[in-house]
This record gives sequence, structure tokens and C-alpha cells, in this order.
Amino acid sequence: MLAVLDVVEWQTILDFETGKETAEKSALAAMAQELLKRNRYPGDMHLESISWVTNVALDLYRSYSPQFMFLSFSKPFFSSVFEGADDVKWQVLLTLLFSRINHFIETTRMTPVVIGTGQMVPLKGYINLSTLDSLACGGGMIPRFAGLYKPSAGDLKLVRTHEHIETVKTKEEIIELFGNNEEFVRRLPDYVLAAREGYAFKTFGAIARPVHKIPARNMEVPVFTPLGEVNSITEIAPLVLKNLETQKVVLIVLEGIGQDDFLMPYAVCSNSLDWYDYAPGDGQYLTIGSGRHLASHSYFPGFKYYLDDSKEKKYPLSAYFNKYVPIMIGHSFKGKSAAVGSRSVLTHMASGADISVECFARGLYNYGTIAILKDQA
Amino acid sequence: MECAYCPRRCLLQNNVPGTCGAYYAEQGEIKEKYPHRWTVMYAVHIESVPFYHAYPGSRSFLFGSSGCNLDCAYCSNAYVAKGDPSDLFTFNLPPAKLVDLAQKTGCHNIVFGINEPLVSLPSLRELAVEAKSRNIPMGCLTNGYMSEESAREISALFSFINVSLKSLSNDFYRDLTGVLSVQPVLDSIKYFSERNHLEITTPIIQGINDDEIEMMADFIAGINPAIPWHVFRLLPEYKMKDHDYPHIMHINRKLEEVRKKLPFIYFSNFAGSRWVNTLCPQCREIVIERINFSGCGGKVVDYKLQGNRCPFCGGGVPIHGQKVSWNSMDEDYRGG
Ligand code: SF4
Repeated sequence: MLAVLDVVEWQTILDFETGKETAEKSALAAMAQELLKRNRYPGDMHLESISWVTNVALDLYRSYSPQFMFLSFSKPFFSSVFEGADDVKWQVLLTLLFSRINHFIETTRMTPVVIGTGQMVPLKGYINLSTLDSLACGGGMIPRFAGLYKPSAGDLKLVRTHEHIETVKTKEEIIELFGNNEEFVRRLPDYVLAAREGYAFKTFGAIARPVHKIPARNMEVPVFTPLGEVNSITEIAPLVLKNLETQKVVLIVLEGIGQDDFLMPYAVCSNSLDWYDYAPGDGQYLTIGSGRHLASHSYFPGFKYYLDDSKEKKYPLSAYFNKYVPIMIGHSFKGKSAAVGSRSVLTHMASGADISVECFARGLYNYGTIAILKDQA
Repeated sequence: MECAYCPRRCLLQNNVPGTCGAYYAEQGEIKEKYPHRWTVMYAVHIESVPFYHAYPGSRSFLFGSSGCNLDCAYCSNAYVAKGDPSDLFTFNLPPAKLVDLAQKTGCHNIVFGINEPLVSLPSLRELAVEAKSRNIPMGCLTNGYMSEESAREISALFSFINVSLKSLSNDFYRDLTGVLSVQPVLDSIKYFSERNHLEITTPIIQGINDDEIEMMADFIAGINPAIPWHVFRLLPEYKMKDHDYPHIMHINRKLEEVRKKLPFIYFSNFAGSRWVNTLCPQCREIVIERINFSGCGGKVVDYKLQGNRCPFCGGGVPIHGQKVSWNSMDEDYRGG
């Protein structure tokens, strides 16, 4: 696999598996270089990041003619989390978001599957785990789940009686619910904690930026598609795959959008497995993209994000992922596929597309854009 | 009473903090406003801090507090450096607890970054005692704008230090950081260079300090040409968030001209950088290969030095501490 990196006025081609510069070239890489030059990423917090996704997607649609496309929009999520957007700004954002999506669908005539990742709610407070005797790890920007490692009896008593912690599960209970994929089990914490709605964990690994909203406990999320009934986020990938035999399909993920803000006719589908509800981030993206629950993706919230990051780790441009599990729609579908997203790494991880174009933003800093190209393309 | 931590010499009054917001006076004593209050704690590659010539390959426990004694118009961490600390969530961790956490996360060393260590000096003093008792080295990033007394103390607490040298010009410091003179920074650099492992980082702002690259290289070479120099492609934020990002080839052309003066120049803060490897100053072979996979990220992927010697020609490359492997301190690492 190759990665074309565009740092505004400078480009380089990397071997995606090692992260090292390579002299290898391909027609697709040349196409990606031109495409990235034409479409600079405005930054995570810019409203134009919405149009950036559809502009690049239309550009790719014209230049590559994919049968399957995957688009992700993270701006609503970032606005809710970091700006606590006021009503007027939020309505402007929603109007722009849905008008750009409609424009894309009308222009390409692709059949859409549009899913919102769920409602956001104001942050009520933090659950501080740094005072425990044991190590606690959160995951993602605003963790609603945390992992506990070798907790003392005192720690367990504390978390089990904490008024803002809803659930405490053992590793065995997680395995029973999700399955026992070896890699998944290896990374599981000894205990997993789930916060009550409105609360997030603060512990080692947490970010310092002030936060306004966090994902709600979304047991269901809105979905729109003319392709048929969707009962669960795990049914989306099989539905898309089945229909790709006869038509062009675009799967669109709207982060931070729940039923209150979904400006399309929608049905609701399950976003959970028993007590566990998916929050925007890797687990939800990969489950939507593959149709398989978390265990297939090897990571559960609260894992030690740093453990596998040795010098031998593969795919250094894919954050903590060290494997490219070939179970996404873009892997199973043998026709042409392309993805565009403003949620960086998750775009290529969740799509498995021949070509994935994504922002190269880290911690909201805009380092440019990247296109990831699968070998067979 | 006058605060002696930095040359601003703020007049502190009862319960009225100085410019950095970190100190106030109470009953004739200078007090730290937020002792042992930390805003972030991460396990990171030491190269991403960045330190390229100290404990290569190690896992650093990176932490920070809030506040700063400078007011850099382009600050990329303004939400912790310039925000009101009372708006930020902080971990209240006494020294033993923080060092415990560093050990539980398998870190080889502890590094204060994110904001300026000077604003948490009394807490860091206590932390250093605890870390030393457990043989854990400590390092820090600093803007270097401090009094002689503070430089002495920082030098004693931290064995490896990275100073941000933003410019050599008083005008730059006056217009863009809010202080009158660069001299205290230059003095700190000189002081640390004689006592500590020192690396220097320069954030480049296109059109503002890129013309100083050669002068800064001369200044560093005049102190010690073996000092590693990290030239940082700054993405301005805060009051300068609309300013252009530096152009990589433009900056690199200027760096090429001065590489003869300084053998260890690194150019990063963008993924895919070609300028993050260490070359042997004698034979120019790559002796430490790194990749930069994130913005400020980076890690060692191939380490060829034998001791501090080039395996190709035997030339010396200064390295502080030993090369270690990422998981060597992690008792829970089970491979995979
Ligand atoms: S350390 Fe803070 S309070 Fe002390 S002189 Fe400097 S800015 Fe003023």
C-alpha cells in the first residue's frame, strides 16, 4: 500500500506499512497527488471542512468512477465538543451539511445510506480516576468508557459505588458479550467502566482542551436509506454489499448528529450490543464499516494505547492500529471503491476503499491531507 | 514582594498573582497557586517531545500544568498555556502518585512539556526528589526565559532540557512574546549547555523569523556544534491563527546552507519529514533512522550506533543515556 501525503506545498509518497518514504509510483498515486493539490483541507474547526469532503468526493467520483463511496463528516462532532456551538451557528452548520450531502447525491445519483452517530449532550462533569491505586486508561477524546488494570479492593469498591459510574464489567463479562478473538482479549483491561450519560472519565491519556458536549448514551441512531430496513448498525455493511451488485452506493457517516438534527426522513436502528452503546470513534466506525461488533476489530475502549507502539509496529500512519483487518465493505467488494473523510485515520480503516482521502489532522492541528491507496488498485 | 523566578520580576501582592498567573504572595512568602495540579499525562516516544539524542527509543511520561510567563502570539497550546487554569480540569497528584503512574505505564523517564515548567517550579522540586529516589531521569521543555537562580534550579532538577529559541532579536521577543529581551534565554542556553544534556527547538514562522536561521545556527555552533537543533514547522494558533504555515522547501533550503555548521539539524512537525534521521557527522551514513508519523510525532525505527560510535567509521555521536526498547519497563507487555 502507498500513502500520498500532502503538507500544503510539499508532497511525499510513503510505504504505508512502514511509514518510510518510497520511490514507488503508480497511476493512482499520480492521480491522488493532483487531487490533493486541488483540495487543501481547511482544518477541523472550519465550516468549510464540510464542503471539503463533498468537493473531494465529487472530484474523486469524476476521476476514479467508483461504484462504492464512503464519506465521513466530523465537523458537527468537533463543533459540539469543542465549541458548544450556539443555536444559530448550529443551524447554519446543519443546513450546510445536509445541502452538501443532497448536492452530492443528486450529482452522482449514487444510492445513499446516511447514518448519524448519535445525539450529543452537555458535559455534566468528569469522573476523576487518577486518584485510584491502579492504572486507569481512558480512550479517545472524551472517554465514556475506561479500563482498569489490576485494581485494588478499595478501587473496586470506589468505582462500584461511584454515583456517576453506571456499569462496572469484568474482562470475562466483556468476552462473554463480544466474543474471544485473541487480539481483542489480549488488549482487554481487567475491568471496564461505563459512565452515566453526561459524564466522561478523566485519567491518564485524557486531553486538556475544554469540552462542552459529549456523546449521549445512544442506544439507537438515525439512518436514512431507500435500500430497505436497517435494524442495527451491523446490518448496514451487508445491505450495502448486497446492493452494490446492482447499483452505486454511498455510505455517509455524520458524526455528532442524532435524531434531533437529522434533516432527512429517517428510521432508527440499534447502536448497541446489550448494555454497550457505540460512541463516535473507532469502535462505531469500524462496526458500521464491517457489520461486525467490536471483537473483530481487536480494540475495546480503555486499552493501553501505547503498548503496541514499538519500533516494529506496522502502519504507523494509522494511529494505534497495527493491522489492516480486511473485513470492511471496500475489502469485500471487488469493484472500485473510494472514501473521503474528515475523521482522519478512521476513513481508511472503516472503508477499506481502493483510495481513501482524509485530512491529516491530529489533536485539531491541521497537518495537511493524505491519500491511502490499496495495492490491487 | 518581587517574584524572582523570571526577569519579569512581578510585584506580587496578597492573593494577586503575577503575569503568569502561577504565583502570589502570602505573609511575605511566594506561593504557588496550583501546586501539584497537572492538566495532561501521556505516555509518548521521547522523540516526539522532541529529544533525539537523549534515551533513544524510550517511553516518556509527558505531563504539564497550565500557565506561562511568556505570551507568544502564535502559541499552539494556548488553551493550557494561556487559558484560565480555573477553567481547566486538573489532576491533583502528589509526587509519589505521579511517579507511581509513570512506572505503571512502563515509562523510562518523566518529561515536563505542554507549558512552561517555571510556573510549577516548587511542585517540580518535590517531584524531582521523588523521581530521583526511584532512579527515574527527568527532562523538560522550557522557553528559557528565567532568572539565573531559576536556571540553576531547573538545571539541577532536570538532566535533559530542550530550550525553545524563537529568535535572536529583542524586537521579536518584545512584539511576539511580550517580554523586552532575548538575553535571559541566551543566558539559560549557555548555562544548560555546560551542565545538562541540551537540545534546542526553534519554531519557524514564515516571513517572521526564517531569515534568522543562519544567525541562530551560528549562535548554537558558537556554544557547541554538537547541540541537536530541532527546527519546527510552526502552525500558528492563538492570536496568529490566520498566519501562513511555513513552506517546507523554502525553510529546508535555508537549513541546507547551515548543515555544515551544525551536524544535528532536524526539521519536523509534519508527517513524512525526510529530515529526522541522525547522520554520522564524519561519514554521513544514517546511524539513527526515525519516522515522523504524526505532526510532532516521531520514533526510532532503526538504531545502528554501537555505544556512541558510528558502526561505519567509528565517529562519535553524542547520546545522553542508553538506547532502550519501548516495552522494556512494561511488566504487562505480552507481545503480539
Ligand atoms: S514567574 Fe510569573 S509571577 Fe514570577 S516574575 Fe515570572 S511572570 Fe511574574
